[in-house]
Amino acid sequence: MSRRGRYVEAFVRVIAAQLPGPSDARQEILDELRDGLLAASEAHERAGAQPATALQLAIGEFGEPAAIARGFLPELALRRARRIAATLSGSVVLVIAAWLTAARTRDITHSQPLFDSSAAHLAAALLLGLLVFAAGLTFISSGSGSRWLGTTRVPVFGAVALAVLAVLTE
Amino acid sequence: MEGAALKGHLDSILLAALEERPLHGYAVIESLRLRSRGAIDLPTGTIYPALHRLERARLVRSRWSTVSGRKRRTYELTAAGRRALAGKRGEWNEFKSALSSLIEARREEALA
Repeated sequence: MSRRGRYVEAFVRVIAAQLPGPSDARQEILDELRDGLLAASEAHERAGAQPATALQLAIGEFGEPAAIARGFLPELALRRARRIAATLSGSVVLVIAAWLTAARTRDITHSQPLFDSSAAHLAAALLLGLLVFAAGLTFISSGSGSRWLGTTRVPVFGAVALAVLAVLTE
Repeated sequence: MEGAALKGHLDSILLAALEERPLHGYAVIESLRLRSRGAIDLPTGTIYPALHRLERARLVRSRWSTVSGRKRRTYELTAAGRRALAGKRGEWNEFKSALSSLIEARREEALA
């Protein structure tokens, strides 16, 4: 690896150490920053700077590693929230499938039906419904919905969705 | 002109930078510098989270490619991004016109 490459890697590693969240999302961010730093350095070299100076200018342009990492925190939190919401939605599908399978088995063996109007069953159905609703809100507020929700309503929607998810999964 | 002065306009600026052709993150910075004749010089690190936010909103889309042996992410406007840019341009023109008339009126009052 070239000297410039080693310096860029060191800078990227400092940022990486301050990025929490899913590893694939972090890797994408780091790949993009690495390319940006090298592109910036090359641009300064084309403008006549010596390689070492060009790299210094590029790093200076990017700003403080801590500030760069902070800029990505909302994105990484949203990706984590979407991942949790997707996992929970999958769990709901599995629970419903297991429930239906159990009900069918009981029907076949002519035992007491699994589904009735008892409070426990209604509460379970309500809980599953709320879980799906909260997961849906999470997807909307953290994805394309942010376009029509606007900058004020996105945090409100996101906070409501995450609060419901947190209560339900606790 | 630094980041604080551009607060609230960053999305419009980035969408405008991508209007003509797809660009990677650093090329967006270079384009902004060139088009603003150096007046707009944002810290490069702040551009990437903003581009990602626009992508989540489906206003831009990105593609990965390999250039000189390294991974490069290039952004381009979506149809929704073009519509959003047209809307933001309209809002900006109204705002600019309203502000100009207010400031000019005050200057006339001061002269009277």
